[in-house]
Amino acid sequence: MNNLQNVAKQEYFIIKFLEISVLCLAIILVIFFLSTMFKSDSIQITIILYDSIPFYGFLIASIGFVGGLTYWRWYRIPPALQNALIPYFEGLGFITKQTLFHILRVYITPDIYFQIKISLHKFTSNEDCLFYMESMRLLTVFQNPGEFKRIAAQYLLCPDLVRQKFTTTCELEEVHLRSLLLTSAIKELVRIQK
Amino acid sequence: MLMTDLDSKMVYDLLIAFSSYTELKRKILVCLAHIYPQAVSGSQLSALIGYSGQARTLYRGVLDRLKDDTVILLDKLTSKLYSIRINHDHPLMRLLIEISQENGLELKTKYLTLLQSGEMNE
Repeated sequence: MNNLQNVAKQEYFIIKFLEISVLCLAIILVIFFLSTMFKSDSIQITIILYDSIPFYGFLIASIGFVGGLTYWRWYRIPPALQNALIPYFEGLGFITKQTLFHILRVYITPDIYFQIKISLHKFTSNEDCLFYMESMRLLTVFQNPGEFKRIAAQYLLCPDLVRQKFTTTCELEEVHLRSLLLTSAIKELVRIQK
Repeated sequence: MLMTDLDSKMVYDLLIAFSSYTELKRKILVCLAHIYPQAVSGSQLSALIGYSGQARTLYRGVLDRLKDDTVILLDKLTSKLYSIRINHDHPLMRLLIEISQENGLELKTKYLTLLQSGEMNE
């Protein structure tokens, strides 16, 4: 578990580094563009670099490359975490679907699902690898709010009445059992509503 | 349904839900259930569950998540001082309180002794 937490934290810092790199490259591009446009000689390096290499092409290619790398890192769930999560759900007969920003959607049946959002690192709590889980929107919650709250209490979940969802935040070592509880809660509510 | 069936179902629910929590969360809930209705601060709680003064990690992480799951009540008294108690309105926590108060008198005494000794040291 500690190893997985370290992987998550490491991935978080790589993504932050890439984001800052894209931002810095974009700022440099804007500065050089403006200084060239206004023919300012105040930044001597502009002239040196502009004369020596195809500077804009290089800069735009760099932004594209680092931006693409950032996008890929945002999209993929780190392989170590993926190996800990996806085979487990697939073993239970669930279908998993990855979306952007480290969100894993788990389909219990084709029309019933829940989402797991992976926070690789949280500065506010100084914790590595937290999981935020939420059920699909349960549209008939307003018809039976009492049952909705009762089921949430039974499975120690947070009943979000406004968004009509069960939610919970948990740590790496809790994610497997808590996702099973969330599954049971959704199934029970759906069964009652039918 | 017989009363005993209802109780065993609730005990099972409590057991399963409890198992899904980490050791730290379980320690916190057991402690709060035993000392109920008393509320404690973060540093008192960390001392009661055997954590060495690192109450800051409790404040920001675990306690917030337990509060989100509506199993504890976290009242902010000042910017750094919280009053923490178990949520007796939660059916599973009410059951935990009942079980702990009925059967855990010895542990309750130990917790309260620790709490008093801590207060005297302060």
